[in-house]
Amino acid sequence: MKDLVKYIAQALVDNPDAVVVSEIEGEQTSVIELRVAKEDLGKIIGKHGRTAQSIRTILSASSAKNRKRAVLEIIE
Amino acid sequence: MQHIEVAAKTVEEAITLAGQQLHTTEDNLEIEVLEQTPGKFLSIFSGRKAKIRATLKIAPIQATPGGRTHENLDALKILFDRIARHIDPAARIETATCHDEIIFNIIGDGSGIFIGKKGQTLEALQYLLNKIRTRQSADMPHIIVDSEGYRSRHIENLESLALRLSEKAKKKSGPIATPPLNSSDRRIIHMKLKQDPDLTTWSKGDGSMRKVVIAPRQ
Repeated sequence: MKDLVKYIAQALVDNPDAVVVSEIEGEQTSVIELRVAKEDLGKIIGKHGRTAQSIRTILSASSAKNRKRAVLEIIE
Repeated sequence: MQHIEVAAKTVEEAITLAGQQLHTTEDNLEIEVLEQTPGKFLSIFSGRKAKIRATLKIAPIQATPGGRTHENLDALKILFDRIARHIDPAARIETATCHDEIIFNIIGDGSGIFIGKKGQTLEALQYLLNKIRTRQSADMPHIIVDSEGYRSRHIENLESLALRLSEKAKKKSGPIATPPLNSSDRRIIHMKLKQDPDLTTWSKGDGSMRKVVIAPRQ
């Protein structure tokens, strides 16, 4: 699931090398932390948070299939 | 060199089909007619077919706009394939072109995992892919993401909703609003009721709450 976020984020930003994704695993829920270059933050969030919302929707589809909840945190 | 053989009712149809299968236009194909029944009408009635061999002309330079689009499309497809397989390892992607749009059809396990509640997963995938597409090249056609025939089913549902509400509006001779719809869904309602001379439609509201109002023409 970490890789899923990474692929998508890298395709959206200008500095794909600056994309860092880490996963904090919990018992039922894992938190996926996404860090990008400062100037790319807007590209990840999108207008009215639409891009971030879309990534979260895809993540929840993935967690439904894999039976593990995941939460996406975009870190400034 | 890549070539395919295509059979259809007429030569023209076969050429169009070949273009679709090779994701290109007629201009980029070399056509060789293998079989042809004389007379268009006769061939339709007899069910006999025209057969052609289409060869993809190799673009002289890789940097031509057409060639680049092709490369970008392949890159997008690989990315999309990765995303889809992350959700369901058994998923496959099929591509097709239709009316200047590229259709990515996800073939999954039939559980609707890629569709989501009210198609929200499909919308999310489509939105992100188009976002990535415009970053790569502005001249690449719009992408539609579909799975298990959801798109056509959705259009049918909207069209029957349009008809139902228009009956209601006529009965009470007053305006009736649809539930909130996004722009492409509103467009389907407007287009469906455009031919009805007794009705007029317009959109009302802001952002995600925008609806279509259907009213009898005064």
